[in-house]
Amino acid sequence: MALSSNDETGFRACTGLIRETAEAFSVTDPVTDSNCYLLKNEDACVLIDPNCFPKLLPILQEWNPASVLVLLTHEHCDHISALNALREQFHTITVSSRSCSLGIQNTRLNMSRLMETFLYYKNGETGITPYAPFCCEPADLCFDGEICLPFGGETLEIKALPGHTPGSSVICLGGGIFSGDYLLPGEQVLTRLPGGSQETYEVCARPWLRLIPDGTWIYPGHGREFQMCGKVREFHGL
Amino acid sequence: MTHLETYNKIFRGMFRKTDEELPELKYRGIALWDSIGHMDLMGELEEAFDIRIDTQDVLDFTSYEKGKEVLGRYGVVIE
Repeated sequence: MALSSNDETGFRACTGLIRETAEAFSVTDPVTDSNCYLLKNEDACVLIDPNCFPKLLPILQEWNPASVLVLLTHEHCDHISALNALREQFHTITVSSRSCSLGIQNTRLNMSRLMETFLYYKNGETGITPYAPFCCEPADLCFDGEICLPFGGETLEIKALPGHTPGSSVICLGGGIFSGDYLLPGEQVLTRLPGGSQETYEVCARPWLRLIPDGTWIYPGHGREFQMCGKVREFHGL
Repeated sequence: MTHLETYNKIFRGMFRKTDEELPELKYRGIALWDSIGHMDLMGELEEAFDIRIDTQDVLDFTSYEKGKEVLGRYGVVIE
């Protein structure tokens, strides 16, 4: 299985600094276009935003990890849709902000209740894509503010940045940032979905995002990774 | 609070309109009632009336007046 190259099975090797820190792959959900990132460093295995279990399964079976550390950037269903299956089939430890943990337990806050409608609009109102509402059990480890976790010889830093949702966070590793639904290529941040708040975004998230140095690799929740630069700052008002 | 009062309160709160302005409201007729506002509205109505609105009905909910008809399908009579 050629895990190191792009292929039609939907996972591909990530580019950027993250590759110097870990084996890194991304999987894109064909229904929602969300990205899941799979990282491996020595025996440690991390999944950020588990999204499409059938696509994640082959790589996890190859890696055969003793345990999977699951990190969530926020509570929306397109970023947690594989969480229940993962928990059934692998030993997992799920880490999220406290608000995210609450959100994944609620079909309105995790948006799965209205995902068919969301996809209908997103796909140009061309038809209804079936999407069953679901919720998840709470995270195994919740944090307020920020938390640091060991990952092989590196450190994962997770920082709560509410705004897009109450439970939104960014995850920093080896000079890269997994930004969830912040800094999406070509899309302004949405703060009007359930629980989102423009005021909170202005107070909590935007000031932190503004301080990201140029050249930093950003791994967004949708779309391809890129490096922070003036154009990105201008687009996102940073 | 009657169903009509609850219905109106949700519309007033979400779209910043007066009771008199509500009957004219249509989906995409004002900036706040766009697709995102529509999903938020559906969530509020589901919670307020303790119902689950099918996606086809969500899409059929195209105005303040039409919404009354849609909610009637779930036993929520607004008059």
